[in-house]
Amino acid sequence: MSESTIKSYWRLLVDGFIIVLTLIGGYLAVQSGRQRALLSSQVSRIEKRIGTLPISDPRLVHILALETENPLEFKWRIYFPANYKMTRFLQSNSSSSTSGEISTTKPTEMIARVRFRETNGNVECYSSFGVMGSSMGGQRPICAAAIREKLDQLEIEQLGKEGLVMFEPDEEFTLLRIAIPSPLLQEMKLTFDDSGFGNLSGEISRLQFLKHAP
Amino acid sequence: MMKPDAEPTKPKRLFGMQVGLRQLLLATLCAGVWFAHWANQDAIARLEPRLANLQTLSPELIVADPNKIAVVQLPPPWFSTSRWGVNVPTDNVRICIATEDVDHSGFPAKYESALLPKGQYEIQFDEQIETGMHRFQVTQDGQPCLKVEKLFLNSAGGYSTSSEVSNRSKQFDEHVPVVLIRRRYSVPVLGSPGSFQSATGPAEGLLLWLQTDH
Repeated sequence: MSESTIKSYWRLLVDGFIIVLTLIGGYLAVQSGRQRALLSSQVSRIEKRIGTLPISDPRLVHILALETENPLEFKWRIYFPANYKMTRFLQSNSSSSTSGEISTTKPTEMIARVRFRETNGNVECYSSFGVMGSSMGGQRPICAAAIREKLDQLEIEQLGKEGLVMFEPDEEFTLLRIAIPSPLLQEMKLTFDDSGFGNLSGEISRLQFLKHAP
Repeated sequence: MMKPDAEPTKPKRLFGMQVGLRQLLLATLCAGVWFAHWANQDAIARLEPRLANLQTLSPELIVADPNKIAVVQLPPPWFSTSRWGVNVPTDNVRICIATEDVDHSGFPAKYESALLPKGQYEIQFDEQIETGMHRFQVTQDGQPCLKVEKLFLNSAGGYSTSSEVSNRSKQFDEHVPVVLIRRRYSVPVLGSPGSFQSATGPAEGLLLWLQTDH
């Protein structure tokens, strides 16, 4: 066998090897590309629902309000750093309250929800933080009426509504505050006899993160 | 005129091997597909934990095999409400409720049930308690499909609860019953009024499950 024939066979062998390697790589690249595209679409679909929460400083609490279809439902996407410990305190027009501890050992993200609904003339409030949920009833009549009939005139302050907000881990903050403005409160007091329920500040609901429960 | 002493062009050599344009192109193509595959793998490794975290924050039904039952627990809209996204592969799957003889495992002989239609939808379970009477209602995409009332004797003593489903979408073989809620009320301690203990055998409770007619 001549030297040129051997070289020709050798080149053919190398070409074949590269072609096989290219075909295998191409097949794997197509497969992994499909999987990547599927995962990307799933991530995009969920992030379209709950937004993106860029963690710029993992030491800080990050809060972003989310849009809801129900005007009586409030949602946030929240990041808590590791070893975070605070008390969440939900107060309803000074007559009832509920509290619970938020405690983390590792960085944790959760969706927080506060929702109001009317049942048999009574406005109840449901709040949930991740898997922990609690409900609270007993809104006094004037507040129930304000939520039912004057929702568009109420003062609603939802933290993170204007964009991402950050707090130090030991910093107290108010996540949600709903109140009846003074002129509306005076007007409603003429219609509703609320005297049996004591003084009314006009504040319907306040959800706070505090160092210690009041 | 050709120079008499001009040397002929030397072929390119790589690692002592003669390399032509064809091999160079093949090698470039080969490197390209393998780099694409590695880049995809790298992106997948970053996307998978991100998606897992997002799916925990905002659970969604994933149906890899449409011939299997798939269930995911969705965020409850209210304290006394549970919600699931389900894929029902056939027309002979039932939603069942039992309130007596609920054991640690297995299914009581006496129960109420309703056939579910084939397809993907939401199942919601509501519980209301009025003067000791528990009213359970199951709705399928908002349409009531099953109602049960029960006056429990031992509901004051607390209960233990478990489920086979969570906020991570899970598939089940069609013939296997899927427990959505298994609640077992504690039983009074004999000779110690007001004291309750976990029941060792079948007890009052709530068992909500999906099963297929054979």
